[in-house]
Amino acid sequence: MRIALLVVLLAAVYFSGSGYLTNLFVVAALFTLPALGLSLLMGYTGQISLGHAAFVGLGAYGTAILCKSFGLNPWMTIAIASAFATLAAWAIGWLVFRLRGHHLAMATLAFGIIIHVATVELKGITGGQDGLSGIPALSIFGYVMNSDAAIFPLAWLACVLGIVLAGNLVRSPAGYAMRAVAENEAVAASIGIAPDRLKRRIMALSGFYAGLGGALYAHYLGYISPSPFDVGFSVRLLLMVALGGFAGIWSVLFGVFFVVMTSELLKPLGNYDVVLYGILLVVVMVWCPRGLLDGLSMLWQGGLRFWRGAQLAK
Amino acid sequence: MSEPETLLRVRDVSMRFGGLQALEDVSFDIVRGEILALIGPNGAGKSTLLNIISGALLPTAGEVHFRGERLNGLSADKVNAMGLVRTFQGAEILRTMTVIENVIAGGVAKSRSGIAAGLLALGPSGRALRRLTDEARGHLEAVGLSALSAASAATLGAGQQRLLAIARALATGAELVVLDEPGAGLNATEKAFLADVIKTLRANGKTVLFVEHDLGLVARLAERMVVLDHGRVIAAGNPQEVRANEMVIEAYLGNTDISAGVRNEPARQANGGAALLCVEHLTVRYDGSLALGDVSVTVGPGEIVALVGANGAGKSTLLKTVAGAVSPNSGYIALEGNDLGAIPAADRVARGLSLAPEGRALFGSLSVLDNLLIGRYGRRRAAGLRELISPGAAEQVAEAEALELVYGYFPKLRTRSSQAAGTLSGGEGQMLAIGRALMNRPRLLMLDEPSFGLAPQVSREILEALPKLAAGGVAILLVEQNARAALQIASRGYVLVNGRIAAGGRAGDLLDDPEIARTYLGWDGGETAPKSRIRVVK
Amino acid sequence: MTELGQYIASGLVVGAIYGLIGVGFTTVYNVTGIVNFSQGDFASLGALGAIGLIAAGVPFSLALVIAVFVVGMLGLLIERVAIRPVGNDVLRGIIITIGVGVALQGIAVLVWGTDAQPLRAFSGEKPVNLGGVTVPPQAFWVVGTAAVLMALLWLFFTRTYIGKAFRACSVNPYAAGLMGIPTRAMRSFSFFVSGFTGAIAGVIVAPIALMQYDSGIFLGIKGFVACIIGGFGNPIGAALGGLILGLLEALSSGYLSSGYKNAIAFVVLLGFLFLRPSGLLGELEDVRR
Repeated sequence: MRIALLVVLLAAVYFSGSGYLTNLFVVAALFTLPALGLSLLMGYTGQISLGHAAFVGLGAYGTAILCKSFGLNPWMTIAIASAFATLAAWAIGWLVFRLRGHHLAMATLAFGIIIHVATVELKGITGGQDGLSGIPALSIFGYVMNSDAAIFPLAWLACVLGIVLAGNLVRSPAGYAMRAVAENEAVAASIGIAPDRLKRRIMALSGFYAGLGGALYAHYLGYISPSPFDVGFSVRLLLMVALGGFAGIWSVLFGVFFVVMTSELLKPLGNYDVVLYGILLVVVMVWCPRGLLDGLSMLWQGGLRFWRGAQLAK
Repeated sequence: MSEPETLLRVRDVSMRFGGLQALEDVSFDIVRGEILALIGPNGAGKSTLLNIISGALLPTAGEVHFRGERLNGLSADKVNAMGLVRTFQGAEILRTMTVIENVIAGGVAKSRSGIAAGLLALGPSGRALRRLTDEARGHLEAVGLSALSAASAATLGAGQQRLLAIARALATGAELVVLDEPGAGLNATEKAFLADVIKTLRANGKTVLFVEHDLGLVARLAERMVVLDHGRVIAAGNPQEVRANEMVIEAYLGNTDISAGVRNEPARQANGGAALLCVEHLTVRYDGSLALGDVSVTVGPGEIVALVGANGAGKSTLLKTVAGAVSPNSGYIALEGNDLGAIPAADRVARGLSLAPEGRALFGSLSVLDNLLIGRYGRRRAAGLRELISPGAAEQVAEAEALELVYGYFPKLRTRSSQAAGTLSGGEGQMLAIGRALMNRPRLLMLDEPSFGLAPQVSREILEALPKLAAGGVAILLVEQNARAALQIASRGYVLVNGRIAAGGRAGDLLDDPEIARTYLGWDGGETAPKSRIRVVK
Repeated sequence: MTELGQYIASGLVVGAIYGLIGVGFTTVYNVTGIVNFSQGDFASLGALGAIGLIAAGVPFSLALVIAVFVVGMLGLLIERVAIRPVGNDVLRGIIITIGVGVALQGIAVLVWGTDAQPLRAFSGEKPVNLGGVTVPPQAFWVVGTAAVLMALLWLFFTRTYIGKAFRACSVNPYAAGLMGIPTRAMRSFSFFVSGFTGAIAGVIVAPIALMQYDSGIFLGIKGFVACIIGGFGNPIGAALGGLILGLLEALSSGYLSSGYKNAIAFVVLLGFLFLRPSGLLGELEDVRR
């Protein structure tokens, strides 16, 4: 049902012909994939990751390098790069999930920064700060996806698929296992769920989502540099997931659109968006840990009750 | 009929934590289809043993075999996969899920439906979920929670949480169900229902091992018992044998005998019997379960009053509530006639109320002397902020006096004064905990399990020091597992059972009364108080 | 040889800064159980604040003092508004302090822009020659101030009554509460101390390393690494870890490539996390459960 509504909305945007809206939606789609992955990991499995931008970067650089240096077909390189990000996430998970709490957060942050530094420093392969340009656009049956409108269907096809699959997962028995691990690992183990193995696998899945998002991004823009995959991007992903209340496949979409639109709206004012992100993150975590929508609706109900009370008092 | 088959075999299991021997050569068997209770006083090693059996802990020596296979070193999830499931002391339900989701989660591992199947919503995943849901309904039915299946688990009461934990354990399909204190925090009705549920489990082919402090529940359920004390098996057998076993009774009541003539005999008639501490109709609930119900207690000046009762009876809660660390749901607490209800914990300290908490809670990295001086914080703060930075002459004198007083009672502390508190032995640590509380020059000193974990000789030394403190003008409210010794030094005592006062009176009378052991141990379900000379407190 | 001496000198200077920031982490962590991910931003904010005040005509030394105290008070405010309502929830604590850090950086961008800001050296720029090793005079200020501040903090925590009460609070808050110690006030105070030391670190290093809005991120991470090296929760370990990290960085950027300087810190971090999570001086028992 919600999927149908989303598809109708997407079709409306697509056929409206508005370049602005189309661009906004393509950007949102490319953010949605990594944010979904992070939500599966943080929201449903309870494991923090502050280095998620790195997996997006691995996907983007992976496909760009394979495509340019080896002349492989972009479709194939996207698949290989996503698989590479998956594997990297699994391996990093194997290392970091023996840690917990603050140490886990710092270790993931460290991996994120190490990968980012590597993209800057391995100039021979990544082009350093200059980045890589001339990444070929995707094409299928002669239909070249070199504009916002052209990539829109593919980006959202990937997103909708991602949403459907993630939704399936969280409703499946494995989804219950994830939630059990998030809440209490000792209990999860006592009912036969191996917490570390599950965490590694979800991390890998989450890396796949991020890598795929990154790979699509590389072919969409045709140019990549290290700066979009820095700590700031990891924090923005965190904010998107936090705004949606961490757990909730659909609320991730809300978070993504909220962040994309506020940064659009605030663009003319300069750098206000960063301040807003920080304050929002604090506000959401302190007052509405179940997400901004939930917090607003509670505020609304509270206000309504107050208003009714005031009416009665008259 | 074939021979009974051994399901779980525990052989010569020992466990050391640093210097502490938690378990020593523990051996016993569980036969398929029985209900076995593992009992013993607090600190006997029961939880450690459960953790070893369920795979969370590797024993220092010995072996555990389940269905003939060695369990040592397997992770908890693998142990579960072999057919053994455990619950936890706090029930540990998954609060973010609904009731039925908790039970479904219990069946996930068994269903072998993985992430890939979940992502693609393939047939097996959907079918698995439907089957798990159906099974979950059945398990909820078995524990009587069907009506609540869609409710959020966080809204359940304590008793319902225990039942839910059992239903979740059943969902794993394990044959041996290990329950850790299933009756803790439940009222009599809930316990009766719990007993029925456990009996039904057995009837349905499960084998049950449970740890429990309520001996009434144990008596009602267990077919066999294993009794642990100080990490050793001191008795095993059927309930009649165990109940009659002197060593078991001693393990629960304590076997430390205090030298004659040290009993506290306050001259309290002198001041007209006005109570120093007056607690009336105190009720405390934790998380839906009753910790204290309508408890009234008084302590006179210079008096030692002992609070005895089984583990979980609410003794520590009473002390914490008086100290202000726990807020009561209702009731009245007064010190020297002043209502403490609205007084925050920090100010109660300054009014002369000290609590030496369970487990000593020393500041390990600070020196002994610094620990003692920190004990004066409340007094110093009450005298003004300046006193914290540089104490005035009056405070310096008072501090030196208090220090001399403490060193007078516990001379060992003087010789250890510059040593870090973390390096003290158990007995010295307890002396420091009491000394630290005394630095406040309290009118009322509350001690929570001062002899816990100490060797009998050291316990005696500590407990025999208390009447001297009382003679020095400090009233003492004493919570002590070593009930016999506590009643030997106290002038009066109260027996707490399930958060309520079951009996109270002169300590000597409580000690001599044969009924009291029965009440204390609660073999008979223990809601009724014993008759005879002891005044029954309502 | 002089080359090595040069690297060691610069390593000690940077290491002193990392150590100070690490001490800030430790102070907050011990009492609140929270790792303040915005720790490094206290340093950059202190430096930028001082720069701003000087630009506004406030006398040099007064500007430094005001900036340091204001950042200390800011720490207090952050604890009160953002940290206290959350209690001991680790995940939320992490995200909130990240949010605070981002907000502080954002504010810094609004006020000072994205350009690096210079602060003049405390006593001139004329390098001092120490047996062939040339050292800027500010280096002495950095090492000296860090040493004095750490000594003062050490005296405070081990010699004064309030300092001991503070430590009691970090060892066992429940028992400290039973002694009448106001544990909440101690939590606030820990944030003040961490803001204060962080800002001092920022102010003294600013003349050597240009400060900009996001300098705090790396300073904070390096401070955290210093804590991990020394053993989390141990202030002496943090100071020592800072020096070790500073030396490692200076040597590696001297003999290897300066580009990998940042990565070195993380390799050290990961090495310690996985091989020796209790650090060199090991105070913490509960890293892996």
